[in-house]
Amino acid sequence: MIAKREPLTRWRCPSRECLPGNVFPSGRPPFAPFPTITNLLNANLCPVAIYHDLIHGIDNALIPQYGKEKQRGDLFHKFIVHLKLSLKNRSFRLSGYDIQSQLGMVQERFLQFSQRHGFSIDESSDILRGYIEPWVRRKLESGELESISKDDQLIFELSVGNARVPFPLGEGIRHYPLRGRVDEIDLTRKRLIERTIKGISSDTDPPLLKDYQVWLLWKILCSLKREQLPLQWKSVDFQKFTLVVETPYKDFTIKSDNNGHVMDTHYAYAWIDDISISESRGVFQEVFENAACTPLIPHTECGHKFLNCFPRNYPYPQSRPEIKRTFKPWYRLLLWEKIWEGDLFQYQLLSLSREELIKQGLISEGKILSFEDNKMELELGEENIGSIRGYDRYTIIPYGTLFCGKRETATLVEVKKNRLTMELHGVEDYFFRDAIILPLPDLPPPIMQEPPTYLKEQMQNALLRLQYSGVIKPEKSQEKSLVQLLEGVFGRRSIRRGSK
Amino acid sequence: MRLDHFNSSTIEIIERMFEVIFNDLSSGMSEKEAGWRAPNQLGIMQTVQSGLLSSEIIERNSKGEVRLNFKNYRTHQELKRFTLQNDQLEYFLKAKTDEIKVNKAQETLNQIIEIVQQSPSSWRYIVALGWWKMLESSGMPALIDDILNEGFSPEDWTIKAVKSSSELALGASQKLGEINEFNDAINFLRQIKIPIDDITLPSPVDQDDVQRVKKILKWAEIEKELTEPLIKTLGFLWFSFSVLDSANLFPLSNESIIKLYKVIWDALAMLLGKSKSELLNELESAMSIFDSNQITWASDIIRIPEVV
Repeated sequence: MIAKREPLTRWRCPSRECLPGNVFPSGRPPFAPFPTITNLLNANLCPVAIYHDLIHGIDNALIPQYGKEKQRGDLFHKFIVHLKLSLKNRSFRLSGYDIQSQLGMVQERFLQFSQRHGFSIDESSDILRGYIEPWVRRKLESGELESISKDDQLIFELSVGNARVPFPLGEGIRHYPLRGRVDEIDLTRKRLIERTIKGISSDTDPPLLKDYQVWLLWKILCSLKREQLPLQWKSVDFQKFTLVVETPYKDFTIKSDNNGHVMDTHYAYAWIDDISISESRGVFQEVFENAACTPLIPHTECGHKFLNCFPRNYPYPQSRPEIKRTFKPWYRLLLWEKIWEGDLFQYQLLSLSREELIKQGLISEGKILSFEDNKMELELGEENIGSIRGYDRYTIIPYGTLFCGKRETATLVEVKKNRLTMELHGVEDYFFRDAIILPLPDLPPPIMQEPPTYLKEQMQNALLRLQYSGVIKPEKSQEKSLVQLLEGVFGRRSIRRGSK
Repeated sequence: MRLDHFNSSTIEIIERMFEVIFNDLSSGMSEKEAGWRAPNQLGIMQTVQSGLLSSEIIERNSKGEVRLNFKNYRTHQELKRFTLQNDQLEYFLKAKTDEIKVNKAQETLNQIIEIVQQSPSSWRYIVALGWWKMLESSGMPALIDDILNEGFSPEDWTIKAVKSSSELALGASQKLGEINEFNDAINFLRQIKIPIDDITLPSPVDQDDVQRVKKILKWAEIEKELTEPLIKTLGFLWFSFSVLDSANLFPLSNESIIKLYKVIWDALAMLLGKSKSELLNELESAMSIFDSNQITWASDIIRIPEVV
């Protein structure tokens, strides 16, 4: 349950002067961040979780920082995508066999797939037993997998965002920016699916906050205007979609009409705003006063508890209070830099017109000429080619729009006059062949360079690790050069060259 | 006998014993006293007790009470399989250092409160020192055009404006009574014998620089809006924090800091006869006035200390 906070009177978006980048980035941004769904989930879980997210660059509190859960979850989802698309294009058939045989066929396919993705046999078998098998068995028993046909419209991992998503508040409405990524949209069966490996077979409710996550994604989709959706989706009405949270063991249907989620969202935005850009000095204190757990009764699912929230504070270096005090302002300054760089860019993408974006050099447009072996050949207009420089990383949207589209990362590998060759990362051929990506829509796909804001997050995180580093025993502190160095910089130890 | 060999009911007993230790430690009991209970209170049968004692998982005191033998290195290693409880134990044991600091900090605060109550004239020294720390640590943000128009280079400004903070602080404290120079405030600190390592006087400053700094910051307009409770609130908060800080009495965990912060606010509310929210509202209203007068930098200078 989210900690309540007075809803904001309005969300501070970049001003007309600020939006095109005419204000020199300096100090506290005059606008609030452009939150992701993960930000909102963290804020909903606990104010301290969103504090760690924004201030220390630690992403999702419900995914352990050190562990294999994320990789396992990714593999689980990727394999389901692979399986569904293979069934859709008929490169893999299940019909004519009994369920046990079908299960065996899928298992074999999974083991090949997981090893292609660098998982060991032991790890693969573990994932197979724990997650894939129960999911596939359910879907075979319900006939869902067999019912997939080549005409099905299944879209996976779609990036969605809007700078003005409406949420009712009392008699009025508040608009907030929000962006996220949908695991699966099944246009044929009118379902929006959020997939996870969390949960157990006896669960009666979806895993923590997964219902909220799919609901938020649905809110973004519902907020988009026709022209903001992919061309082929003109007749899609998301209001009529069923929201589903899918675990290996169960499918949960989520109610779309949920006033609790609406109010949680207002509170979450209030926390995000205040932690990021509020001038009030007492905010961080309020964050900790409203923490969802204590060391005595720690949250069962949060990954922060004894790592970031209740750290051990080793006795050495003894100058830790000074280190903490010195680092404290840096965290927020790094966040502000990130907002100026990355969040402003997101506002620009989703608020400026296509023409303005091209004029500002924020996006380029190209016509796809071919796609083979992960390499996409594009033709750009003469006016566009100037902004593409260096053999660098780009984001390309080969399908859909800036508001609702498939965002892929790509490296520029060749430039010949106005023809570019981009190598897409981690995309398998079948994805483009089968996932209704090809034939291509009429609109040329936007190409852009997203600011590397993850570097700021890594710096925040590295600072926190340094702040927490240390040893228990004094003799160890004498041996550890890092502790000695910290004592020298922040404490009273004098630093001398050499061993004397 | 290793923990792996215990059955689920014994594991439950161990978990219960962990819980008892945490409750005791968090309620202020020392490491030595924490966790001792009569075996029947913990639901330990005689046979189980013997097994646990012989394997040194638990220890027994002269009163026949038992507790987890967490001080024993080998047992401690064994108990690591209780991941969560082990994390909690480590946390609570380390938190004891913070607790000692908070207690000592409380004593120091009581000393300060007593001095203020006995001699209300000491407010002006507390304000001079507190405001000096507040202004100095702000870095004196101002508008770059104003800084250049007064003939400061940006580099000059960062040095001279910060240097002027003692003079500006002196001005604020003079609203409460006579104080001639900063030395008076430092002498006051020396007299009251509060354990502070280094007390250094602010370095001398050119009066012409001070006047230009005041002009750039629109200091006269700012001072006009400062009420006595507001001056005292900020002075007391910053004074307390710098005293505790230089006496190395500042705890590390956020929970302890918040606890200490509450103690300081309670003391302040008692001294001024106003609640924390009333005092904060007063600060907020002053800030709104500064904002509406286009003195936007004031909120980055005149502020309560950010402790977490």
